[in-house]
Amino acid sequence: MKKVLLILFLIVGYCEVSQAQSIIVNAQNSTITIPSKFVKDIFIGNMTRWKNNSLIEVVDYNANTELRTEFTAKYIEMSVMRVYKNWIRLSLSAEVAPPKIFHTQQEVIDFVSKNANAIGYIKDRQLISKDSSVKEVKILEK
Amino acid sequence: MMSWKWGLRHQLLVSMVLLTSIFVAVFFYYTSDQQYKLFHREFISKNNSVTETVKIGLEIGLQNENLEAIKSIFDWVKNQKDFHWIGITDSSGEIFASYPSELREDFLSHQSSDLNLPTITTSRDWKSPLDHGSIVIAFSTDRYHLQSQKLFKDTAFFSFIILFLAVILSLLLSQLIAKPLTSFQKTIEQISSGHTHHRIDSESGGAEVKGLTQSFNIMMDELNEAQMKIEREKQKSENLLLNILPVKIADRLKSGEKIISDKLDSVTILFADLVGFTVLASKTQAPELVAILNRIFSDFDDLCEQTRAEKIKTIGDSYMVISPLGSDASKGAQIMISFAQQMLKILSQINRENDLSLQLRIGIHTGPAIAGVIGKKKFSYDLWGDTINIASRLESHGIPDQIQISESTQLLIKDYFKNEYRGEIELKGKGKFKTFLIS
Repeated sequence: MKKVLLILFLIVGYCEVSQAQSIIVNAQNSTITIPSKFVKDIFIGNMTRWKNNSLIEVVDYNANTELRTEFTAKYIEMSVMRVYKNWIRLSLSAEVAPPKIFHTQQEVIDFVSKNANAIGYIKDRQLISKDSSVKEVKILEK
Repeated sequence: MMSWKWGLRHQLLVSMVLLTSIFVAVFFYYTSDQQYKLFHREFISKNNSVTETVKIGLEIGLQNENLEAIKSIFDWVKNQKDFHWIGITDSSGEIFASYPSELREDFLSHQSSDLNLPTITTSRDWKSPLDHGSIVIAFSTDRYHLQSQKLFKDTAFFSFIILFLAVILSLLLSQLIAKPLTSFQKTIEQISSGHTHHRIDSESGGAEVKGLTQSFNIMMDELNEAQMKIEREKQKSENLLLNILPVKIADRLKSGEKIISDKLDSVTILFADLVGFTVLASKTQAPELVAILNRIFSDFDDLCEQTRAEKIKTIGDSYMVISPLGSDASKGAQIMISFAQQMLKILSQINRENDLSLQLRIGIHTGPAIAGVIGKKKFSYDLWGDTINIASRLESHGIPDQIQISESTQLLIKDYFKNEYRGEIELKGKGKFKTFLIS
């Protein structure tokens, strides 16, 4: 029994660590889960529309923030410059809305709460526990 | 001659058109060159400005992580006049962004600032804390080409107008210049054809032409004057010649005939001698005597002119004349009878006017004779043969104020003039001859 409890603890603990960044969207957004590949595509601009065909409004952080570095490393697997280049390429050739850059998680939450098509990420879940206008979307790992 | 006239006009026309064409070509080249330089300056300046703006926008956007600002810059550049394409490379030289998106690297290697190519490019290096690279923007030169075409059309039209005006002006000018020369030429042609009184209008043309025509006219006046003098002198010479020779003989001598010698088959010869002149000469002063004799013989000379009878000579107070050369025998004889009658009338008139009592003894005979011109100096036309001697004898044996003719003459004029047989006279060495008197 102790072994079982230990295994369950380890699994839950692992999950907590892997869920260090949470994807958030507006509460009106019907999305519940999102594959990690889509996360990458959205944040580098390759995927620009929701299922309902509305334009995705990407929200990101400054390049020198730890949160962004971790998120980029984990989900996008590209350098920040590489991501920028991709956005620049898209900005020149397609009708896309480049990501809005904020400094803090609260600024990101505020923007997402006010924009139905916005998507961002945070690290501190408790920041959205009391905000009903923003919801977390579960990332489906590979 | 006509070719020379048209040649001058053509030369003037071609020269003017050639000069105008050169002017138009230079003007055309200058205009095109100026337009190229103007556009080039404008394009380069504007494109540099646009590219610099994109560079600054890109660098600031990357530095501030403001991708929206970068997008705004791109949207702005795409709306710029003449914008054709943009390519942005990173430090590795790879194009990571472009518009249109299919732009290849080799586009960037064909950068040009020549307006004659379809596009003109400008480039800037960009730099950010994360990376660096280049921005190349191409601008279409279509607007330049359109304006060039418009300028070409305008210039071509303008050139055509200039050329047209040049041709018209050339024609007018060539006519203006050639007109006095043409007039000059026509006058010279008329003068050459014998109309030496023609003169060039010296009032037309420029100062040089006026001077030339005036000099020419003066020269022609002097030439005419000289020609007239020559003509007068020539006429005098001819008159002198005609005074001593019959017209036909004079013409033959003038045409170069060296020896004049003719056999006349039937010529009527008249001898007239003034009776009483010797007595008069002894009583009258020489000048008066000569004046009387001159008056008589001058009137006889006038009679020769009127009747075309040929005066041969005077010997003292004798006057020898023959029937017109070339006339037939009968006609010649008739003319000589009339001539003799007129002589008598003339002398009668002179007698009355001068209170004289001179008489004429006239002898006429018709027959063959030899005629010719002899001598180098004071040469004369003369006749030889028995006919002359017989005529002379008829005169010397004649009756004053009577016309004595031989039988051969009587046969020729008997149907026209009344005459009566006088008888026979003894002519020395010739025997007896029948003679007749004109009634």
